[in-house]
Amino acid sequence: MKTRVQNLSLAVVLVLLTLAFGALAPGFLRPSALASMANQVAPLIVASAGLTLVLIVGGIDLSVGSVLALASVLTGLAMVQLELPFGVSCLFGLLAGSLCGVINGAVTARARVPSFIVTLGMLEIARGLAYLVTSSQTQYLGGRVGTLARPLPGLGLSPSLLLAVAVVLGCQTLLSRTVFGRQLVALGTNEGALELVGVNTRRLKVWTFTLCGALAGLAGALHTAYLETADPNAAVGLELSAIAAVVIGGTSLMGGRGSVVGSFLGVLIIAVLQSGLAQLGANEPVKRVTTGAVIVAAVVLDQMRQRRASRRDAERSSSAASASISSAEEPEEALQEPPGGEDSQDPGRKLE
Amino acid sequence: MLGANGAGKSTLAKVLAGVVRADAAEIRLGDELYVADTRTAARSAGVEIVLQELTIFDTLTVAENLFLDELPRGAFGWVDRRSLLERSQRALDRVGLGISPSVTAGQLGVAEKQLVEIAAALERDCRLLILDEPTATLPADAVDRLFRQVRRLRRRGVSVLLITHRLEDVHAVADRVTVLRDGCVAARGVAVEEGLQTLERALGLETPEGPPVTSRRESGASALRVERLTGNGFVDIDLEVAHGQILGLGGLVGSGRTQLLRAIYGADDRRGGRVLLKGSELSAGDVAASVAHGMGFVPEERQSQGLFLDLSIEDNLSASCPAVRAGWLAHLGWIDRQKTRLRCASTAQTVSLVHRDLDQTVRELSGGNQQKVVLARWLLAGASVLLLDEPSRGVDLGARAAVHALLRQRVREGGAVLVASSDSDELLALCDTIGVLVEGRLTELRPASDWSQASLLAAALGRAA
Repeated sequence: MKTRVQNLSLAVVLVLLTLAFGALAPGFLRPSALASMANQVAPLIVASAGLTLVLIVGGIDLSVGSVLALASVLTGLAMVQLELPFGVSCLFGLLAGSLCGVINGAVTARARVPSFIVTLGMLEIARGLAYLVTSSQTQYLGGRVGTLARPLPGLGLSPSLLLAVAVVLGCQTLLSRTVFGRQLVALGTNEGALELVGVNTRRLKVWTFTLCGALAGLAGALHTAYLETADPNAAVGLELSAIAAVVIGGTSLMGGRGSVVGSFLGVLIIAVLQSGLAQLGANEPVKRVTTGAVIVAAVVLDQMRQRRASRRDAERSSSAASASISSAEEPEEALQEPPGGEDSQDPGRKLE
Repeated sequence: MLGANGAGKSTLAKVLAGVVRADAAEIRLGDELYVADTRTAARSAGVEIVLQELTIFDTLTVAENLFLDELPRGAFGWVDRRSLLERSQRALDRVGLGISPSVTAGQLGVAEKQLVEIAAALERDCRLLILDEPTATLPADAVDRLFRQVRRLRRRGVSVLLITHRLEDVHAVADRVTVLRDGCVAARGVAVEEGLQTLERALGLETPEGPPVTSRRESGASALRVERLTGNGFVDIDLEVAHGQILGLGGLVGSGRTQLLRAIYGADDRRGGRVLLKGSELSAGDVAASVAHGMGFVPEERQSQGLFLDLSIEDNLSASCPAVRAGWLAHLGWIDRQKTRLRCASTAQTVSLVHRDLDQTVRELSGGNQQKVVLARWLLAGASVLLLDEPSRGVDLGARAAVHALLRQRVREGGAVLVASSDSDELLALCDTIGVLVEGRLTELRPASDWSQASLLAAALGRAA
């Protein structure tokens, strides 16, 4: 319910932003221009979907960019060395991505090391492996891999993008309609309580990271198709764009709250912003400054909105309670923010 | 100050101590107008509070927790450790807490942490000391010591505002009573007896303990059997709970009750012994197996271990319930939303949960209703063997009676219940059979009618009854 409102407001922002750039930059609103912009971000959409799940359980995966590159070069290697068709070669990339995810998850869950550290290590490891297997050479694969990324005639959108949208819908359904998904949200809210309910939280974590790794692998295949090369330097820093998109989409870095559809809209907002600014003639530094400011502003706004919503809920429930008698509800300690005194603290409330 | 959960006692106390800002207020402290915008302002005016929720910093030492805002300084602004430790030791002695001040606070149990907070407040010079339900977690001897300190403060001219659910507390120290009801004052500063009558009317209860103990079902088949169970904090425990029986575990805080329940449930490992649930042996440390066999656990620390505070009531209720999966996709974990909602709604009704709708977050509920949610989760999952650790802590008398009634109902339907409680009233009112843990060992189990308040206390202190 609440996420629906949130996604709606993200969509409104996206439309307004697009229209604003359309008014300023002639040609920005041409369907072919918009479609090619969307086709370009298909890999980022897929990677962000996986990352959203990881953030919801209260983890983080910094290795998505490197894993994407590793998957990309393994796909290329399978095509060139083993002379396999592109579709089969992609399985190598997917497998490698899943394996990286299993390792991320297993070390995080078993050794109880923060996922920030584990995936920071994997960021280096996967990137290093990508250089190792290619001897740091970029391999051109030719037009035979590009079909996925080429716009479909009459539609303008590429199969890659449609696949990415399907992934988003699939992940969102998984999150909101299945026991697995609800357990992910519960895990991000209170791991200890979930254990006491009889859920194997370690296995749940390993699965989440595996899914994220596999999706990074899939993103690698889409990236390979888009550039028609297997490049060990691919997607450096993609993890940061993905985190930005997910956070703009309303997912909490502390876990327990998030939406895959929101992340999808977050990716599109960043894409519109970047290509719109480029069309206006802004150079790279200006683009980066603006994008950075937008990321922070989006999260600040989201926080303010959340606080307002919870205050409204509090008022609603206290007015509902005054009707009932003995066990009347009052939102006791939970909802009032302590007024900032340094020694007043409310241990129940997470600071985000 | 008395009143039901959600009557506004804690919020009012927090306003007075500057933790929560009042929407509108004219407060007088003595003869002066008193503005409590922040806790610092309240403190400098001489108002001190011990909050109901613990505000201990787990990673700091007990001494640092005690004097965090005024650590004694030595040369160059270094912390004067010796004087810190000396003052801390004095503060701890005053509340009778026999721990070293250089211990990390995270190692302490809940009652010990509560005593550290009380010790910190007693150390400060104040005109008004507010204690928000300080006795809920404390063992009887610690309560006595606390009240001795309260009387000492009173002699020195300090006013004490004590918020409590326990009538013994009122009889023990209160001079006058104020009763809150639904955020309004129902009786202001009246004599103790009059206040208690007002409270009973406010709670809508003639007898606060609810109906007397139900007819006991004799010697049903064994539901839960524990044999020579040994683990961290308890040794060689043998006990058996039959279908249709409520077994109570008494004992002081720290006697091993919580650890025992957690080990039976599989949340903690055990060093030896067996746990048999309806005849089948449970492997150690496997909560999922316990749940699959129909066991449910209501933990002591409700908010941190029992609930997903920021999730909806529906999510909290269905957290342990595989039965809400439905349709041909069930094995993929597909959730039947409609059925889930219906079941959650009817369960919420069974436990008479006061709530707005099922999408309301559990954080917004009062303590009593949060406890009902934890219990209702297991009713929804169809658990027949329930383990409860301090089920009425921080719960008002009305909700407590409701929880007791639900447990009795469950037992009449053939369930089995094992309850650990510091509250001897609760054990005597609820249980068929009671045993007492003393330093990790279980005394003889006897029918509740053979026990009394005094004999329970004597047994808990390790004296012959």
